[in-house]
Amino acid sequence: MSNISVVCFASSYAVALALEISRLFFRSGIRGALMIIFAAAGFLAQTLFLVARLTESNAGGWVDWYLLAAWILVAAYLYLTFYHPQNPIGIFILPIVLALIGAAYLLPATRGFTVGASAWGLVHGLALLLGTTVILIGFVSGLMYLIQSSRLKQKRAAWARFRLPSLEWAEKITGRCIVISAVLLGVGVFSGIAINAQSGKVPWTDPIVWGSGLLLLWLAVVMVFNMVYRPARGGRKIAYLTLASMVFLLLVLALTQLIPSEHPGRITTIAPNASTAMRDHLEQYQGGGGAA
Amino acid sequence: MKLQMVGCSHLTASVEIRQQLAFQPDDLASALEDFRLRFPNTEAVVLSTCNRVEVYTAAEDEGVSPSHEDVVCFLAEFHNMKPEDILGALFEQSGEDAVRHLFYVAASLESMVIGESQILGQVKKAYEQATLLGSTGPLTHGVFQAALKAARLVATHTSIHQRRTSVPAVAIAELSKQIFERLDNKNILLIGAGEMAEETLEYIREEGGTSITVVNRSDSRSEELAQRWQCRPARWDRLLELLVEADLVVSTTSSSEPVVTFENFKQVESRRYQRPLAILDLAVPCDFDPLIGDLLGVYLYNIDDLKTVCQRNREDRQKEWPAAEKIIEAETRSFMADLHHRATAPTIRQLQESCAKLKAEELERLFNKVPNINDPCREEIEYAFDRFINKLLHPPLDSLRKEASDGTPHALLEALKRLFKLKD
Repeated sequence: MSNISVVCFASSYAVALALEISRLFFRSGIRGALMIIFAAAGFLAQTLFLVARLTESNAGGWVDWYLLAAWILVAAYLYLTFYHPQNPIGIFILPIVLALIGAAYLLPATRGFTVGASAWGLVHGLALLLGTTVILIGFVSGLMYLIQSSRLKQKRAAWARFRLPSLEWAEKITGRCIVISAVLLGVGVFSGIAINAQSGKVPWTDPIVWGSGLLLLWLAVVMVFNMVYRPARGGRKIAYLTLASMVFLLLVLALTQLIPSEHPGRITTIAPNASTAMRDHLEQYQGGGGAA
Repeated sequence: MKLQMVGCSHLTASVEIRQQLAFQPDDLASALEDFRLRFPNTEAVVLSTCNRVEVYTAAEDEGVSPSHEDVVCFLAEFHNMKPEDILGALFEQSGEDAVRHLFYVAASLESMVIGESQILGQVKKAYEQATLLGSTGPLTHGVFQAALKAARLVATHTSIHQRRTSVPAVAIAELSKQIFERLDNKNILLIGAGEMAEETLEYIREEGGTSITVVNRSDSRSEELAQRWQCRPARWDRLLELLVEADLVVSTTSSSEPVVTFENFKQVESRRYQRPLAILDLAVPCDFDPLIGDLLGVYLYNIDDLKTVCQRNREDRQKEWPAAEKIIEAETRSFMADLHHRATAPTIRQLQESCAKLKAEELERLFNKVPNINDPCREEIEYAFDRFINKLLHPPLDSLRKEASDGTPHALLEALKRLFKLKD
């Protein structure tokens, strides 16, 4: 397992993506099987890699968070490709997976989230992680909806080699993703507040806290909008809302990396007064971060 | 042996001639019986569809096989027509050309709509009916089974059958499926109760549509159609109300004015809350104002849009033609090689029998002269004779096999017969 690197599974996903893209150019009887084999091989390698990493003492930082998000997306890709082999879902999902892995590869090393040690912390981390991936899946289905809808409106020919799912399917997934992501982010944010409240101080001014709060607020507004305004429950409006949610998510993720924060796991430099053991630990982690 | 096809198709004969020559299902048995009485040693299969009437005949003995004129006379007499009236419309294919023609027909490469799937079933049915009536034999079994195999290969290895080309089929099976995942939970509104409506209903049912409302200006016609297809009939004055609830609308009236104007639809739109609505306007002139298609959530396709899709699908099918043709050519060559091998079989059998007789005579003479040979020695001598005969016959038989792959090797067969004094 120690020989598995990010490059191993990223390469598998890149091959699966190349196979997905080749749909646009020629027909092949074995491509579907090859795509699933490469994606599944990458998924297996990534699973082993994550298991090995998460058992380490400094596990659970931003790098792992991004890798876990990519891992969940690949699981969703495998599921969708297995049940909808005709649809080129990978062309939309796999670039996001590779972007997440790339981000994890390039991110500066951080120490693991300490909150993960408690049950509430685990709920907090997992809910935010799942909420984020559900937003990403919603973005993909919203994008597919908009492309299909635009094509049908303009009466352009369906491309035999690029068969998108029906509008109904894309709309159903998009609508569900908005509700599920709002609930998960709500659980994630409120459990985070609860953890901090236990220690007597909630860092309201912290960019990660208010950024996540803003994202939650946006999703809550979207949900209320859907409930109050019936036309927003379907059609292009809901697809646009998922695209906007994606923009919000990217802003929050950028905030977490660019603005100094007290949020656990956000230490990017080794303090001069850090203990020797801590220094060794972080240096070792930073050294491994790039090769993760 | 002779394989032959005499018939007409949409490419060679007018629809009137085709209709006159077509065999009704009830007539087919008597037609084949009549044919068998006229040509007792000839196998026959009649393929009769709306686009073609073809009589396939096959006989081991070319002398007894009916000629082109014989089949023309048979067809004319059966349909109470004069032979000269149909002679120009009928064409003939024989031997390899007849085989290739049947393979093209079965694979739907000769159809009016290339790639349509019905023809394979029609060829299969024609062959099965002829078999049931006892008018097929080894040759027709071989050629029809090979044709069905070739057609299946074309369907498997090309996408020539995948794209639909009729307007109702494209409307329901292609377009509505790009909007809706399933039709069984959709409110489907069918406007009009004519032939196009009925044809569309067939496709809606095929795709799983169950909640169908038929609305027509004439209540009696909508009720009749609804009863036949187990749908709900509705009064014409409820049209706008039904549009509010509908997910898929198929309009097929023959009205000279739009049935739903933009202003009418605006009243409906506010009550639909922009819920997606697919409108497939198959009427000429259009039943729905084209401006309705600009509204949010409305996907309006009229007959011209659908005809464009049909044409594109036809062109896509045409692109598959070379691949399909390649398969048909390979299958034709393979079948003809088998057929030519079969033609050489009687001569080979005679040659082998003649050699076996010679061997038996010579062994008998030898064993009489040397009676004290023990059994192992006898077996060894017999084995040596067999090896000798096999080695002697291998070069001529191999040449015969090679020659047969390009056609029946008449000259070589004749030479063998003369050299070895073989008699038919």
